[in-house]
Amino acid sequence: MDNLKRQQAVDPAVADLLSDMDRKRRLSSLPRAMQKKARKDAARHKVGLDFPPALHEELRQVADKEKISISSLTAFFAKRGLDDYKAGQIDLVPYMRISRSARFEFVLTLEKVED
Amino acid sequence: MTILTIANQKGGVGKTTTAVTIAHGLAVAGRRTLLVDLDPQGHVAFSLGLPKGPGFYRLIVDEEPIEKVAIHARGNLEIVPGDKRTEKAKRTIVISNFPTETISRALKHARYDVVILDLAPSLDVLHVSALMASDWVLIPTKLDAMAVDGVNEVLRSMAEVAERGHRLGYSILPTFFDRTTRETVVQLQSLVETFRDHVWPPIPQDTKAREAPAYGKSLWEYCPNSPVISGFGEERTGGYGSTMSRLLEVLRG
Repeated sequence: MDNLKRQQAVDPAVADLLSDMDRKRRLSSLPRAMQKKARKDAARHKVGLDFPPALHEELRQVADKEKISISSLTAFFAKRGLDDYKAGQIDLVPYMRISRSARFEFVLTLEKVED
Repeated sequence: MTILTIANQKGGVGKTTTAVTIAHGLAVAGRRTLLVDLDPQGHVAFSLGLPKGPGFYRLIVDEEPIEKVAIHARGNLEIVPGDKRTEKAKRTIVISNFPTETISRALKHARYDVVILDLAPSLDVLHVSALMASDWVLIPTKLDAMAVDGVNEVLRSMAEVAERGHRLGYSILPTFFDRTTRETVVQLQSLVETFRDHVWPPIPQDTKAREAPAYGKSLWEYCPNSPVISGFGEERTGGYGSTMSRLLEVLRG
C-alpha cells in the first residue's frame, strides 16, 4: 500500500496560485538577506514538466559523463530539437495519438505510433 | 439543453456580472443561450444596455410562452428581463400548487443549448424552484467570511433539493480577487481545503468590470484584454476566460 498516490483534487491553476501566494508569504517572513537570495533563486525560472523516469535517468547519465548540469543539458537538447522542428526537420505527426483529455487534441509519444 | 444557476444568498459578490459574462461568452462560442433574470433589480437587461421589463412576471404569472417574453440581446443570446414585478411573481409561486416545479414547467418548451438563471441574493421559493430546474450551479463568492458563509447556505439548499431526488453539480467562483490582501489568501486557502476541485480559478478585482454596465456592454465587448477576462500576473491566472474553458468542459459532460 506504500505506492498509493493521492490524486490531484484541486484545479491546477488554483493549486499554482495558492503555492505562489504561499511562497510570497514565506518570503516576506525571511530576514532581508535571505529574501534577496530567495528572489534570485526564484528568478531562475524553474519549470515543472512531466518527464518519463527512464528519459530523466538517461539525461542524468549524460550530464554526469559530461560534467554538466542536467538542467543545462536538457535546455540544450530542447533548443536543438526546437530549431530542427522550426526548420521542418522534425515531423510530429507519426508520434501523435488522440488525447482523452478535454484540454488537448493529441498527446505526443516518444516512439512512433503503430498504424 | 443545460440549465445553469448562478447563486449566492450574499449580495454584491458578482452574480449578475458572472451571469451576463458567461451568457455572452457562451453565445459567442456558438451556443444558443437564454439568460433569465430572477432578481427584481433587473440588472441583467441594464448590463446589456436593454430596458428592464416584466419578462419573468409574464412568464410565470401570465404563463406566456418563452418565445414571447424573451428578447434579443446579442447574436445567439436572448434574455428574459426582470423588474420589480418579479417580486409579485414570487408571491404567485408561493401560493401555487407545486411551487418548486414552477421554473422547470416554465422552461419545459425552451429551445436553447444553455439556459442561465441569475438569482437574487436571497433564499426563497424562487431559489429552490431554480435549483430544482438546474443541472449545474455556479456560486460566485467574494473572499470574505460573510460571502463564503453564503456559499454554505447555497450548498444547504442544494442538499435539500437532493433530498427530493434532484442531485446537481456545482462549482465555486472566487470573485473580486485581490492577492495582496491577507484575508483573501486565508479565505481562498480555506475554500480550497473544504471544496477542493469545486473551486475554480478566481476572477481578479478589476475596475473595468464596474465600468462596463454603465455603458451597457458585456466584458467581452468593453474590455476583452483586461485581467477580469484574461487573468492576472505573468501566468494569466483566472479571469472569465478560464471560467469559460471550465464551463465548456462541464457542458461537454
